[in-house]
Amino acid sequence: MKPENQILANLSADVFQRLAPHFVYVNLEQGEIIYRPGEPLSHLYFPLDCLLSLTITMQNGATAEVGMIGSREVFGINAFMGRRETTQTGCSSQVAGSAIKIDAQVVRQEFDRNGELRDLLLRSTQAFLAQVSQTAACNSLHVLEQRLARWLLNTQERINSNNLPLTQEFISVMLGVRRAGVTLAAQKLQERKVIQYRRGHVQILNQAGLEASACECFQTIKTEYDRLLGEK
Amino acid sequence: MAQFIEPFSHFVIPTKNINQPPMRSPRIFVLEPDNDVRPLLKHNLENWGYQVIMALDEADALQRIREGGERFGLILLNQNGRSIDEIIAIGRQIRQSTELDSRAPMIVMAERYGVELEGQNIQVGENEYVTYLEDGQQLRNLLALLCPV
Repeated sequence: MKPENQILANLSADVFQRLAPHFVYVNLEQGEIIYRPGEPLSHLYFPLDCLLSLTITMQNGATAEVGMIGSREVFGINAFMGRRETTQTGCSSQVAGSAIKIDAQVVRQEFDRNGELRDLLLRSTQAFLAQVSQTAACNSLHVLEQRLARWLLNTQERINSNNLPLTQEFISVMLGVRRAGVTLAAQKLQERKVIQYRRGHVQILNQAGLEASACECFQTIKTEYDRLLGEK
Repeated sequence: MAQFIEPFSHFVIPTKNINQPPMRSPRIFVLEPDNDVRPLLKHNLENWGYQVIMALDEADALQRIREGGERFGLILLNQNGRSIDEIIAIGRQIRQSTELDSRAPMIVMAERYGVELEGQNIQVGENEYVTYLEDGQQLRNLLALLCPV
C-alpha cells in the first residue's frame, strides 16, 4: 500500500518498489531539528502526517518560516539539485507525526537514471517554489489576519486535520510577527466563529469562513500544486 | 509587590439601565508601534465598544496627549522590544502628562513568556498590570474589569 505522501503516491509501482526497501519510517517530535544550515544533507524526508518548516534565522536571532513541508512535499530537494547542503535554511518539525526517511544518495542515483522519478521530483520542486514565492509576496502585501488564515489553511491541507496542535507563540515565530499580532488576529477569526483557540490547539470550525478570511494566496498555491502534482 | 488578579468569572459587569441617557464609550489610549498589530488591536477594541486613541511611539504619544487634552479611561501598551520596566516608565510618563487622568489604569501586553505565565494578569503597581495573553478574550476580560463599557 502506498503511503499518504502525495509525491510517493504519484510514483509508478515499479519505481516505488525500487525505492521502498530504502524507506525508514520515523516519528518526529514537535520542535525536532531535521537539518541545520551548512550540514551535508544525508536524508530526504517525505512527511506523512507531520509538518516540517524551512526557516531562516537572522544574525540577531530572529527566525521566520520560509517554506512549509507536509504531505504534499519532500524535504531535501538540494540532494538532487547539485550541492548537498544549504547555507541559509534550517528545517524542524512544527507538528509532530510520522515521515518516511530515505538516504539522499539512493534518491540521487535514481534521479539520475530514472526519468519518471526525475520528472516528478522536478514538478514537486516547481510546486514548492510556487509556495515559497507566493508566500514571500503574501508576507509583503497582505495583512496579518489574511496571512494567519492562509497559514492555517496550508497547515490543515498538509496534515489532513482540522485540529492543529500549535501555540500562538509558535505561529508568531513561523509568521515572523509579534505574538500579540497573532493573538489579536486569532481573536478576530474566533469572534467570527471560524476557528477556536484553546491552549496550544487551533480548531478550524468553518472551512469556507476561513478561506473567505484568507487572501488569494492559499487558493493560488493549492491550484498550482493541483496542476503540477494532481489534486490531493 | 506583584499581585495576581482573581479569575474574571467572580466579577459582575454592571448592566445598563435603559432609563439612563446613553453614555459615551470609554476611551483607551494605545501605544502600539508595530504596523502589523496596530490595525488588529484597533479593530478588536472598537469591536468591544471602546474609542481608541492610537499612538505610534513614545514621542507621538506625548505629543497627542499635549495637543489633545482629552480624557481617557485606560492606557494600553505593547511591550514591543523593551523591558517591562521601560514600558511601564513610558506609560507613567504618558499618564503624568495629563493631570485629569492621573489614576487611569495601565496595561502592558507582555511579548515573550513561557507557558507558566500564559493566561496570567499580574498587578505590578498601583493600577498597573502586565498581561500575559493566552488569547484575545483574556484582554477583553481584563479591559471589562478595569474599564467597563
